[in-house]
Amino acid sequence: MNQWFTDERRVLDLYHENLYMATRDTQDMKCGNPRVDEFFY
Amino acid sequence: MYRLIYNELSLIIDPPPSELKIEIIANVLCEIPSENLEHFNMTDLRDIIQSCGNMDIPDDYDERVKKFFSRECPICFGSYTNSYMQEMFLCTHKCCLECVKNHYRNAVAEISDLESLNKLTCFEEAHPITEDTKMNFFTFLGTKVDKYFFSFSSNEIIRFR
Repeated sequence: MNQWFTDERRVLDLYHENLYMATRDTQDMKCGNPRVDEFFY
Repeated sequence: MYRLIYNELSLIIDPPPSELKIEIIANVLCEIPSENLEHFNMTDLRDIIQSCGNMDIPDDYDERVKKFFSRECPICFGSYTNSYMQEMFLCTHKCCLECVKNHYRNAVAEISDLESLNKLTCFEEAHPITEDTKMNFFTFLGTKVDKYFFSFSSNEIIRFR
């Protein structure tokens, strides 16, 4: 029962949030269409 | 106490291991301090029994069992059973569950850029996360973090009612 009422969940949320923020630049994919300006990906 | 543990082990393990194995394990369980066994579970018992066959029990089996039930955490210096010790993914460093959770709590709060992610690899030394290892590492880490920190909040409990 103890584990149900802890606030450890915020660590998990923080992990996903911080991981996303730290890696977001590496996750953008270029669309590959030559007509699309590279600036906009 | 020895007879009690011996009888319990004989009853709960199926198929029953050799009598010698049960004797040795019961003996060790009587010898080691009860604090070490606070997190003892059936996985420990299964693993130590399966670590060798019934017919080829090594001479130092009692020492092995003792070590298996008394692993020392390099951070808090407590002694725990094998299953309570958590191994890092990119190296073989191990520490106890509570210490690894603390390490992840701190490392997760400090994530700011790609470099800072390396701290998540180990409590002892930060290993670089390469292109080859990143996929498997983050799958491993995601599973661990989910397991360690997922819990229902009180609001969610109420919503389920």
